[in-house]
Amino acid sequence: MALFLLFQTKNFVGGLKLFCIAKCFSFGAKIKEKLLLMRLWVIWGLLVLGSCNEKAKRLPILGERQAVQVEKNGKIIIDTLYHTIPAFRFINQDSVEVTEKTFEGKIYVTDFFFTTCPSICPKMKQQMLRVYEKYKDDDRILILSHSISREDSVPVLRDYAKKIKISSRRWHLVTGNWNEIERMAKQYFVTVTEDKNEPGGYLHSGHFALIDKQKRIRGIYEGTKPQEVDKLLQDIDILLNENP
Amino acid sequence: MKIPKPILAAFPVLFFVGLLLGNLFFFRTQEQGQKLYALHCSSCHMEKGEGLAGLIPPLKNADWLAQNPEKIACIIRYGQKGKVLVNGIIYNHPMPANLKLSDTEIHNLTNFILSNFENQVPKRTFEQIVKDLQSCH
Repeated sequence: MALFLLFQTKNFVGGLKLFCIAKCFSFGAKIKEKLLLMRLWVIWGLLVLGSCNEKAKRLPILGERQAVQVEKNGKIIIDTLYHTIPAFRFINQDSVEVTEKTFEGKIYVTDFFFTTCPSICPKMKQQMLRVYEKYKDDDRILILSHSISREDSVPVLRDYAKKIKISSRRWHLVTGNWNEIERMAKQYFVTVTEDKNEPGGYLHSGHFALIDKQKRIRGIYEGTKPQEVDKLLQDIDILLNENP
Repeated sequence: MKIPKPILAAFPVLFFVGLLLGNLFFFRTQEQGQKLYALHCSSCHMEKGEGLAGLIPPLKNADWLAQNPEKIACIIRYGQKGKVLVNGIIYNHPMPANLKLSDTEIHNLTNFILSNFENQVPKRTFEQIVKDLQSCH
């Protein structure tokens, strides 16, 4: 990469020289050329520095944390305990049980929706489909969408999955005990409440949460906004390259 | 008859106020459709009318709209259930009703859809919309 850039720079300067000899013949030409050369070096330097920064990039770990004393190799040390997603048990569109074990050793993106939701859900699903399309052949990544409607039975979810052409190999649409779903929403910092005045009867936020292999929240994104989902896609790549 | 001076002075002002109101009315009907679309339709049919893969039919370049312009008003007001064939794909997902929209609002909204999203369907007159709405179901 560096060699290529250097080559490009030299070529460019060479071209510039020819240009100057042919056209300028003026006093300022040499100074101009030098200035341009300097500028090119600065740009090149920035590019090199930029690529270094990219490698060192890590996502933040979200949520409350606490310091605890743990015993390691016979010594008592202070360790940081992060907010982690607790155990859960739901059922997906193919009547298969989905628990925290389904996501063992995987990165996953999660959200809360319902199939008949007339407000923000279609936009959320349009954006989540972007995540699905990008990673559908990558078995390090899964998607978990919780339905918050009591009417979304397994057949309803199966029908929905069929219509938007998604497979439970990569994307689980789950239902279960309503209080359990609400409890899990809190764990992902998503608001879910029943409200008769809301269109569809439920109120919920449209966030996507990104969860790492250690079940820690590494990012929260507004699932209705394409720019935020652009960031999510970038962050998934960063998380995939992160050392544990 | 002598017109009192204050009234004479008020004429140009009235003229401009009238112009302003006329303008407001014109742009309101133009833009009302767009605003209503953003408020009532775009969260499902999306900003550019593309719909949602296999679930929500597109309004963009939709053959169904050209074939059934007289049914649009009823669907906006009372929603839609059952299968619809749009651009060769069957959609079967219920659409909610919008009972609070007036006839005028439905008129502006219908014409906004018919003349946007790459649709080139002739606009419907207000009388046609009223008739369409009377013959729902």
